[in-house]
Amino acid sequence: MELSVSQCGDVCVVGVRGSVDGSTAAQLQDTVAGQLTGSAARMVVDCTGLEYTSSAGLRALLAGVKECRRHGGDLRLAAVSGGVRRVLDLSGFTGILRIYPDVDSAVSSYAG
Amino acid sequence: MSGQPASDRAARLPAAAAKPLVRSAAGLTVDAAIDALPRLLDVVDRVCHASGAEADVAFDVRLAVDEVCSNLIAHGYRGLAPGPIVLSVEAQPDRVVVQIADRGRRFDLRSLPAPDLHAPLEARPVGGLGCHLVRSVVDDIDYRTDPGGENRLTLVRRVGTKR
Repeated sequence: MELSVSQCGDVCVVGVRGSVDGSTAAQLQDTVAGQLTGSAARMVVDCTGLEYTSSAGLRALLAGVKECRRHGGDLRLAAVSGGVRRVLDLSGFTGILRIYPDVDSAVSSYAG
Repeated sequence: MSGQPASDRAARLPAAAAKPLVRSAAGLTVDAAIDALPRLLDVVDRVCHASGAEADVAFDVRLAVDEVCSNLIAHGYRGLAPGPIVLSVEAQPDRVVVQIADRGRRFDLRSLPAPDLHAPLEARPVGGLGCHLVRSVVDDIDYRTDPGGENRLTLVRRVGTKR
């Protein structure tokens, strides 16, 4: 798993590539939590390069979105595809997370 | 194999023409520790790749093994001396068969109730989805404990079923 962090205006974009499983999910959760400072509760997780996740990755996302919303913000997903999308569907996460086709639309969704 | 249906299995439709898998098999025995998980998943990836399995089949088998082994590592030997996880993965023409054996606490993943997938965010526990995912992505689950204390889980993911 590879993580990257960038800023688009007041939106923090966390890029996740590769595989999130039980041995890597804590790193994702820590990275998301580490960006939650002050006004940085608006987050987008860019799943463009995310090929695989287990429930450990979902737990990291769930913890992140709960924390962001508690701070008055949100955590939104971008560019989810293939098996990852199916894991989200099977887990009922598509009903509680906002998912956008790409990073630009996820970032601009905060402007409305 | 008992072939007990998973209670929350997704609807499956027979595919028109599933390409048979090339026979392939591999196994690995590790101590139940989180740093062993990548090696266990590598065995799954190698067998699925060698068999020519479609991406969705390979994904499902990897996910099932990941969830079961992660659960074993986190909970299987709690309160007991650390022990082994014995994984074998075999691709047959029409299915991938996984066996996972351990000597830890008995746990039949079929016994957990299905989670409430429509609960609001605030009511979602941070966890508890792994067993649901396993039951959703495999076709057959068998679980046995022998008198010597070995637990043996068998998972079957057929090819030619669409989810």
